[in-house]
Amino acid sequence: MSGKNDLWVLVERFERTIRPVVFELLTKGKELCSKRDSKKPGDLVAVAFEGVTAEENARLGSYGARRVLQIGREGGNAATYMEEARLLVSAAREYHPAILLAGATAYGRSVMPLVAVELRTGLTADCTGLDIDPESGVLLQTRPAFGGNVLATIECAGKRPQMATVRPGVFKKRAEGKHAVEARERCYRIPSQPLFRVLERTVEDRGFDITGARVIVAGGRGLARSEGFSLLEKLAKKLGGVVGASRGAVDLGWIDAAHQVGQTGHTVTPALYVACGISGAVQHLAGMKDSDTIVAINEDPQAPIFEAAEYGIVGDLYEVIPRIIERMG
Amino acid sequence: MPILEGGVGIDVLVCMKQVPDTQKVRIDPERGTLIRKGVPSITNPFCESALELALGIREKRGGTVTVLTMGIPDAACILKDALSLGADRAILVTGRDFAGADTLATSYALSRAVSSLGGFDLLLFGKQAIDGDTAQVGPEVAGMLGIPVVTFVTDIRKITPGGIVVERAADGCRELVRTRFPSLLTVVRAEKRLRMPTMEGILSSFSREVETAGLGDIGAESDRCGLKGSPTRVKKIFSPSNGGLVNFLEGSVEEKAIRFVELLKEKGFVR
Ligand SMILES: Cc1cc2nc3c(=O)[nH]c(=O)nc-3n(C[C@H](O)[C@H](O)[C@H](O)COP(=O)(O)OP(=O)(O)OC[C@H]3O[C@@H](n4cnc5c(N)ncnc54)[C@H](O)[C@@H]3O)c2cc1C
Repeated sequence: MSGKNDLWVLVERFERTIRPVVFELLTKGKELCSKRDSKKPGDLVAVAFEGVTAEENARLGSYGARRVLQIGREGGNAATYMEEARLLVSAAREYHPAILLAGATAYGRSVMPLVAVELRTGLTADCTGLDIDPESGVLLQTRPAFGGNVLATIECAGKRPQMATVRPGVFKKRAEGKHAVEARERCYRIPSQPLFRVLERTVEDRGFDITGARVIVAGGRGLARSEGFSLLEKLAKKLGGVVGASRGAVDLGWIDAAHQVGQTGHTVTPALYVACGISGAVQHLAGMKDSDTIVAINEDPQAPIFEAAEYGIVGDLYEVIPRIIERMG
Repeated sequence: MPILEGGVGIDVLVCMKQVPDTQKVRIDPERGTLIRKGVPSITNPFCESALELALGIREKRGGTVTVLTMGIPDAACILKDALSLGADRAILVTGRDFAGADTLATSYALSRAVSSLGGFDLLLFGKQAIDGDTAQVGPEVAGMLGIPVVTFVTDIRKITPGGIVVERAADGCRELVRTRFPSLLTVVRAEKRLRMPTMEGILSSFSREVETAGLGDIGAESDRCGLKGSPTRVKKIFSPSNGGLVNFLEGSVEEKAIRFVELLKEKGFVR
């Protein structure tokens, strides 16, 4: 295992299965690798903790991984993210990857800071864009900043690895064929004293899942009151869809956070997204801009949401939506 | 309701951040720049939850609550608020050396401040700050101090002389986690809102001052603080352009509704 220019993607699992964000990162990672200086080639490596099955290996390969590095703990399992962070640090000290990416899940956001501190390098959270600077070959990490009213491109030119977390759903995943790739296993010695213990663990029934919806009717502060969501619910039902919300509406307690779309909520790409009384702050757009058809209903013709929308209706949603529902019969 | 067992008091440090009220930040439509003037500063809401948790622990178990922030001199405001709610001690880490810090440099300075104060059982952080939303500083401080960190904590279940049992919610799971003292917890927005100050609390807080500390006081190396200590740099800032051209549906409200339903039919969303 050579290359000090390798790009690592951290393999995260949920209830034993590899999370989709891993494949999204590999797809992006493959593109990034192709953009780098050919004189300093580096491979795309999937880094995993638990046993990677042959089938998983081929799957990781199909999304672009050239190698699977499986790291473990000498004489035992890594029980917590703190121990996994230590293992990752050991592996990074041995192989010196140029870039280390992980999903911006609760897990990724717990492991990655611990690794960054230990390696004394930079870490950019919640990126919405990644690219390679054609001149310097440095990783360009773009994320919303300053209250999300602008985007900032951040780089970590002087330290390695360059580390970033990326929200699930931001990058598209694309597989090509199926082929097994080189697998390597390494074990490291870490202190045996567990830092903390998980006593009990329950997987929550996530009855409501907005990310898979084909149609989303979303509401914001423009609803002016929580009952507005009943109106949106009616329209959503007629369209066979579900209700989404801006953080503005969630923060006011009008609807549960499970419905929130945007940078700190869910990233969605439905066939139809109807934004009602949502101004269109970048953090909101970050979560829905890749929907196939976006329609915005807003009183204010200047609202930024119209820049992201394909169709716009300027007007009071309380006048427009009941008429739409009526017309739908 | 947390179950707390007998024993000696718990000394808690709450790290807090002053943030601009991001809901009120606006963009200058002509110049495309941020209008930060007149945007009020507030205590990061997740830090408020952490403070409430700390005050609750002291009520039930005894001990002390210390609040710490790094920021401009004005950030003393949020510490004064914490004192009026009953915090025992407040420290503001401030100075030129700390300006322009990214999360690594911030975590270094905070961890130095924590070490120089010394002797805490628990460090509480908000899970993230609403201006940066990185969620990195809590875990990074724990990493620097070499103590356990439990992220995304929703509640404290039990405190024993040697450690604490907390509940955390993460990625669709709920976990009960036991960790020893000292540990660092990052706290999500709790259901219980931060208490309001009482007249008595405000009056008694007048006798306690916000202490300030600089580079030397916390024994920090200047090379590892502020911009100098930050491996990341902002390369450019730009306004998101969505480039698309919107088709406005025209006419009366009635006509707009009719046109919209036609569209839905054309695209196959309704029959
Ligand atoms: C770090 C960070 C992360 C964030 N993450 C997210 C996120 O994940 N998701 C998110 O959504 N936001 C997020 N935000 C908040 C975001 O910046 C905005 O504040 C928020 O999206 C605004 O919500 P809104 O559009 O509902 O409210 P507003 O901005 O107040 O907009 C309300 C809109 O309703 C319109 N309106 C009013 N009355 C009517 C009516 N009767 N009929 C029709 N239109 C009407 C108004 O013209 C206005 O455009 C984040 C912010 C920060 C700082």
